[in-house]
Amino acid sequence: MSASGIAPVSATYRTQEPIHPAAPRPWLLLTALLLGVVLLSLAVGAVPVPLLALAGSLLERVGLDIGHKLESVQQAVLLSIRLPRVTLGIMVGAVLATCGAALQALFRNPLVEPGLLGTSSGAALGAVGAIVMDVALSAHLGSLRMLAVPGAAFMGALGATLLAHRLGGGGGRTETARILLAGVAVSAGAGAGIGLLTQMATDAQLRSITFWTWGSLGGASWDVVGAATPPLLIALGLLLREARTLNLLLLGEREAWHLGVDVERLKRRLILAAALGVGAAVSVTGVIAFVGLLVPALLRLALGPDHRRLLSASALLGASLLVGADLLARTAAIPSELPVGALTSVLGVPVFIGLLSRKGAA
Amino acid sequence: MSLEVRGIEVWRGRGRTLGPMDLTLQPGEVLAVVGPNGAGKSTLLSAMSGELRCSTGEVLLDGTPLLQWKPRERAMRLGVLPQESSLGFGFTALEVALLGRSPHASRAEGSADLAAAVAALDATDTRHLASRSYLTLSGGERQRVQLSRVLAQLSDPLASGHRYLLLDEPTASLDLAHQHLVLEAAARFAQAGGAVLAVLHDLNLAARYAHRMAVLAEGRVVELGAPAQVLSQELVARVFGLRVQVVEWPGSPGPLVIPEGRAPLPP
Repeated sequence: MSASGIAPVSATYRTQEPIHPAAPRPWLLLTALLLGVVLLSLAVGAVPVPLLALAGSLLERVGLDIGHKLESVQQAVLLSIRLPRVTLGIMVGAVLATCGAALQALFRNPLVEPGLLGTSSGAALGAVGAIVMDVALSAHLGSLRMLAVPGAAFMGALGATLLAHRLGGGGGRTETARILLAGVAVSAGAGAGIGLLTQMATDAQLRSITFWTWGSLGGASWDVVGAATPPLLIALGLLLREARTLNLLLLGEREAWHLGVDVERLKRRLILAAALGVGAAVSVTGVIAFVGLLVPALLRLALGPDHRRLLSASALLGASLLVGADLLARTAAIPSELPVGALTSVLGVPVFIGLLSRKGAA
Repeated sequence: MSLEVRGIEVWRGRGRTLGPMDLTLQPGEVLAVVGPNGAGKSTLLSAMSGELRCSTGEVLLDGTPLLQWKPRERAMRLGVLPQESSLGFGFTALEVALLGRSPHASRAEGSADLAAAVAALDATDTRHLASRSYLTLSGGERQRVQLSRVLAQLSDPLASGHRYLLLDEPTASLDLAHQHLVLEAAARFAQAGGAVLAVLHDLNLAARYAHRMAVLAEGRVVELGAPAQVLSQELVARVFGLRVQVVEWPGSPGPLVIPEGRAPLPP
């Protein structure tokens, strides 16, 4: 074949412009933000812990005396209350934001979030179920009892995510309305289950219903941190490894398959990792909504959708957001404590509405 | 060495939508697949790309059944441009083209990948859009950027073996000049030893750029051969229900098809 005799279309080539592949690298800023929020969070509270005294106490251990050190009360508050709480906040915030970003890629929709999708309420249903059934089961479980609540939360999160994925038409093109409706249905079902279980629960088991519906870091202790760390870190690690394949998934499942991705296995891995992370998070903090929506949405505006930047940036900003929101929750109305999930929702809802209206206009 | 379809059939429910069919795509050629709506063109492309499991028969990529290839190895040899893509996130055009390099790049893309992506943008006249967000592009621009992604996927001079490019209506949303530009890019790809199968609606484009044409009707190949042999007044009336004149035109590499009006459907 010859293409001779055709006017060269290359005449329509535009003048060549320089290529700008360089993208902003926000690590310094995000790390500094997290460090600042963490220090502030350690310092501020009903018992103030001056940072200068904290530094003095640390330096004293290496033989330097700068004339300031912590009183024993401050030391106790710092070590057994604030430090585990901040540690838990960092991990849960990082995991929720990263899971949000990964689920958004899985559904190819920026409006998806563990809270909206039903993943979180599924986990809460599992956790509440395990707590209510605890008396009946503990005789059989023995030493496995420690794993009952996070295990059940994981199963609940897994079931809810799979159901939402199925209902939301996750196999082909995903429409926003369908996903949101699927999330509503799954959340409502899980909420009904929680409602029924709370009726069966004793007062001792029901420390507070708001814990599950609005979330709180108030239950943090080193034991809780120790139990939640392995699943949270495993989930985070599994998701961070998928950064490149998540980019390909954004093109569409067919396109990803043609680029050499085993899409079905990838989807299974993502759903398992997200369920593990959200399940572990919810089992120790209850449902903290909108972190997974807010953080990736803001970062996409600044960094673009490349998950090699987005995922780790989400982890850093999610940690900062949750630690900051928790600081506000426990200091805004001393001595009482605001539900931290209500604060993240106050921040998240306007972003959600903004995304929704932009989506509708497109 | 070829992309070969052997005795495939695709059934949907109780109806057979494709086949039985044999077809071979040879390195160095552009094969145009034409036919009326619902003839099975896109189904054939899905089956040939391995996306769709055939009820019977098999698809061989360089002699090995398609699904026995390792996904990444397959992706270095076989690229597919779907009719439409649903990318809803704001990658830049360059980033989209770079995504095509992922079967080759082990972790981060290197300068060779960047060069391949930029060359692919050049080939579809989208280099000036390189730093624009995909979401701000028009339909035709998006389609060209997606083609760049597939060209970048298959543009590795080091990859051994042949490369096969399957295009599903690559010219559908393009203006006239860019329709020719895209098919010129396909022709260059074939000239360099690749193979192109393109589903096309415009018989004149097909006649101009294709070495061979496969005419599909009701899930079967009814004609296969060089455009000058395949295209006739009788065939177009029979398959498309359209009255046409088929003429030779000086300087045109293939015959020209001039529509005159709808033909009465054959009994």
